[in-house]
Amino acid sequence: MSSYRTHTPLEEAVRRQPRFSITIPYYYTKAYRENPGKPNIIKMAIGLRLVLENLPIVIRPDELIVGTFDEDIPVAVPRPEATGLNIMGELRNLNMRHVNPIRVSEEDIRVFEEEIYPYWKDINFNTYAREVVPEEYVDIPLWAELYIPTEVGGIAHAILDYPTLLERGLKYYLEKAREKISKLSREADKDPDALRRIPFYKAVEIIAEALIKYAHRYAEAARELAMEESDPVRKRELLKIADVCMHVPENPPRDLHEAIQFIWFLHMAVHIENFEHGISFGRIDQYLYKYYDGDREYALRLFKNLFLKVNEIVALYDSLATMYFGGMSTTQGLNVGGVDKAGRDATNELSYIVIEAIKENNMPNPNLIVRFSRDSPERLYNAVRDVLAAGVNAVAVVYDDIGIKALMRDGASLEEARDYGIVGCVGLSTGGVGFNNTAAIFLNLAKPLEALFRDDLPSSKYVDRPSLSSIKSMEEFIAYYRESLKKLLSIAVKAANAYQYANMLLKPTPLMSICIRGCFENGLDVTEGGAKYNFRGVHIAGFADVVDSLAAIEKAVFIDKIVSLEELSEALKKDFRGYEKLLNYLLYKCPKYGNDDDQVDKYARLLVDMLYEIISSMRNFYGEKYRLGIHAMTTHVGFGIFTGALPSGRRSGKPLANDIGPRMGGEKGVTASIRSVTKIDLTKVSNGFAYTLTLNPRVIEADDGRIFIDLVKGYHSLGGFHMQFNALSADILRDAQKNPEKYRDLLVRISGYSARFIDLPREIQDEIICRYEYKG
Amino acid sequence: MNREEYALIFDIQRFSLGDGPGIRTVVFFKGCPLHCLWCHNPESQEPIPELLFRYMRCISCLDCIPRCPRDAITDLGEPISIDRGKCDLCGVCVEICPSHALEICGRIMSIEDVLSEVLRDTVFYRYGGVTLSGGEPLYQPSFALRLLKELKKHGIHTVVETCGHVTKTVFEDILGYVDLIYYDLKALDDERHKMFTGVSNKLIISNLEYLAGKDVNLIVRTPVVPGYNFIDLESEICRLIEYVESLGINRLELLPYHRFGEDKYRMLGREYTIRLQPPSIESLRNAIDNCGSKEVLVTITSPILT
Repeated sequence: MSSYRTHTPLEEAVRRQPRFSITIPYYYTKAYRENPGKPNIIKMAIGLRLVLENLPIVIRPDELIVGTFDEDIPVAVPRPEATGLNIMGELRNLNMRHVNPIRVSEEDIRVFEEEIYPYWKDINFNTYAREVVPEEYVDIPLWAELYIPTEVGGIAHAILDYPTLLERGLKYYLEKAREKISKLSREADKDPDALRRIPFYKAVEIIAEALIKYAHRYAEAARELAMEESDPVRKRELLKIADVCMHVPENPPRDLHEAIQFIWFLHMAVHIENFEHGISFGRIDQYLYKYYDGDREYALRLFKNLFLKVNEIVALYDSLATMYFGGMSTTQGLNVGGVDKAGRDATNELSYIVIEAIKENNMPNPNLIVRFSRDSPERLYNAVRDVLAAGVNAVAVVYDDIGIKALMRDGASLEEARDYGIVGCVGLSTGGVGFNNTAAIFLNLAKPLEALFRDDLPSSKYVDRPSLSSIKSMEEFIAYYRESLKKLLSIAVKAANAYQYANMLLKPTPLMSICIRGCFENGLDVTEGGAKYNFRGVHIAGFADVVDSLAAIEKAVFIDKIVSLEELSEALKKDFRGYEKLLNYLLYKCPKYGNDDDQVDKYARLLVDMLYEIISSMRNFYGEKYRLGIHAMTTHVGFGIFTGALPSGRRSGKPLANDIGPRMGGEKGVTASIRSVTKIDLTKVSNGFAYTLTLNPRVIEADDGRIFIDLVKGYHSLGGFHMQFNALSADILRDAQKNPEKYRDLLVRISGYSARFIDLPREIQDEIICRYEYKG
Repeated sequence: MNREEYALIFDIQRFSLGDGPGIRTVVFFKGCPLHCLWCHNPESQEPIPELLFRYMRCISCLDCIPRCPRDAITDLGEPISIDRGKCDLCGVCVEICPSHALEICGRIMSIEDVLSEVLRDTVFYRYGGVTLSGGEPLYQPSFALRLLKELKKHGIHTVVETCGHVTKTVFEDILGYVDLIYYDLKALDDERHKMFTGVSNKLIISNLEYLAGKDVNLIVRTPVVPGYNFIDLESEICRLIEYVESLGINRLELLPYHRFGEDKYRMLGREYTIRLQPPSIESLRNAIDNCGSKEVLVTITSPILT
């Protein structure tokens, strides 16, 4: 961005360093402590009411949409019932830590240490989970190297059913809940479930009232400010805010301003109640379109306001967890474009306004995923291209054909599947119909392989380790890998299920429950399985590492016979020290995924088939399927630290592959990489996956943007689904100088000539970096 | 060898940019009638396979030395030295080299081999297609013509990059099957042309004049190597633009000299004789602006990272 401008107050506030904030856990702790005789679901509702009653009322001069987590934002909130306790020892270092520093005050530390921590230290998800699975399943050594069951942090990671909420208004829930309570009380002598459901409806009644009251406080504040305001334009705005907040979320909105304000009140409150992990908007351009009156500029301002405010909260992780979840991102997914329930492309003017708002804000959240159908207008491709050309990375594209097929494979109806959305980063889900935590488990796919070669890992004892000399063929080796994977995955699933159980017992989420279709009608909390669909997802880290490793084993051990499995095992243990020749052979003489080479791409296909079969045979706490996803978020870094050398030639401790794309191949360029990836049956990756292309912004702009659009269209016509883009930077080039093996795909092209960047002499590389920094 | 069925190819590069519109695959033919001193693809010049030594990848295991049947490799170099007179390209060293530091550049490919490779990216050729480059693709004219015809059968956009030093009939033959020609004009001054490329530019100029009168998209390309093919940058660039304009051609691309090819000379055991800093883009831009042609669109090509 060349033009420099001063940020307005909200813009400035969301860009500050985050602040450790105990308001939320303080009032939830109070609710639990002071109401020991009530069911937990009521305590949860009281907790939310206390928070809303005590949050300061702040209207920033540039806000049209109001309601804030605090005066001083962004807030980083510990969740003491979950992983928040782990931060205990680090509180005084939070502002000094190198990665993701956070401001923290002495007073907040005191309150956390003296009033919050003591209550939860023996009542938390871990204490509940330990009751039902072996202790080592829910402890660090195994987690660090093998899996993370994210529901240890709470349930979240779902698309909220805003269309239904907007349609009804909270008054509907309030009145219906009261009706239900009196009806169920009457039927308590007949219906065994009646008494069980009353607390749910009581909780809904409490939170609906609390939210309406919170909005009314804003209406009052806005009216007061309006009276003092001398600027007539702002005065009008404040009066409008007052009017809006009197009306929503109590009633269905009458215009776009009210609809967006409605969404923000709910969205914010859901973030108060729940772990800030992938709480997503779904198809916002579709359900808000009917409120759009054609005033483009006003709509753009409202969306920009909303999209700044979603950055008011960040995710708080302790230092160990930060190795797996860097960047503090809350990854709130948001979709535009795609087909409607009848299968017609439904891109509309709001789709473009949303894209523009996100481009202009240039913030980490929301995470924009643009749906493309066969009939998407050219303008939509151009809009995405323009965002990327502006250097804004927070945009991905997905393709309807494959997404819809994948969901139907898992039992969604055609209509539900067509209305799909993306949860968090890449999770594929039926809109607000299901509570599908697509990121319930992150699994290190390389560990089951490593465990075949080594007996000294925490995971080793759960695997039947074969005698390596007895393995005579690639087929046999793969059969052992499959068994190892099955055993280790089943441990991860048991641990994840234990946390689903713990969430249900300790922390029901009544607000989240009215935001997921079905729960309110059933009178069942989402943690009890109240939604129509209750899928959970397993996301894989290290996919390409295993693909490349299998191909390398086949070539080096079974075809060229230059090394035996035992020798390979020795080399891996020593991280290839003393085995340089072998290391080079594995790196350069064995085929690598991403080059459109069937010799290795066949293993990508085989692995997905294998994973699909194993994962979809496993059941979660609700008796429903786990689904296969390939996306590591940033867990590939943490898992990588605890993973030794691999047959692919990857050295010990280095990050693993974080998505479905190639890792050290791709010498043949982007199109070959796309062909490799699309050889996989991607409908089997029904939990969603990421495929990241690192593209030079100049390539995106080249040829009037045709290169970019042809890449996307070509990928779709080959059966692709998700694709996101990472802008090439001088930093990446410098990293390539240091870690050349990771960047064999980086090519310098000039008419009639091309060379691998890593093959160029150092001074020429420096010259290229210089040029690149200068021009981009 | 049936010259229509087989050709010596040294590389096929997918997702190439800058060799015509859109996403393209470039087929590099080996062998060129010109030997430009500044050539950035020196491995493209000889019409025979050659052994490339990517010395930066060498891990000094020296396994290749005892295994060479012709004793062509010794440890007298950095870290090895290849006696190219003794080497018969048997490929034993290439096979055993663990780090892929040794490679035979140039292989005989059939028309089917080439087609099956370039057709892999058909779905990406909405605006793009296939470019024949080299070396000199028209140095193997029967194969080039055959390939162009096959590509046209598949409805693929075709580009030829040529140095122009071939018999006119070759151009007559391909004209119906080529959508765009990048035509290299290395120097207007024939003495310099001879000195730095090894041949006279007379045939090249007469072919260019022939093509200018034909109904074909033509872009003239000229490398800018100050002190070699250009002495007085400003006036000579202007002269070049005027010449191009006089032929009724409306596109000229200038390729500022760059050093990315330097290393390849060492890999081939050849000497690189040019000592030069790349010219600044501004100096070229100024020369173009000062000339002020309205008819010719002059662009400056620069490298792009993908």
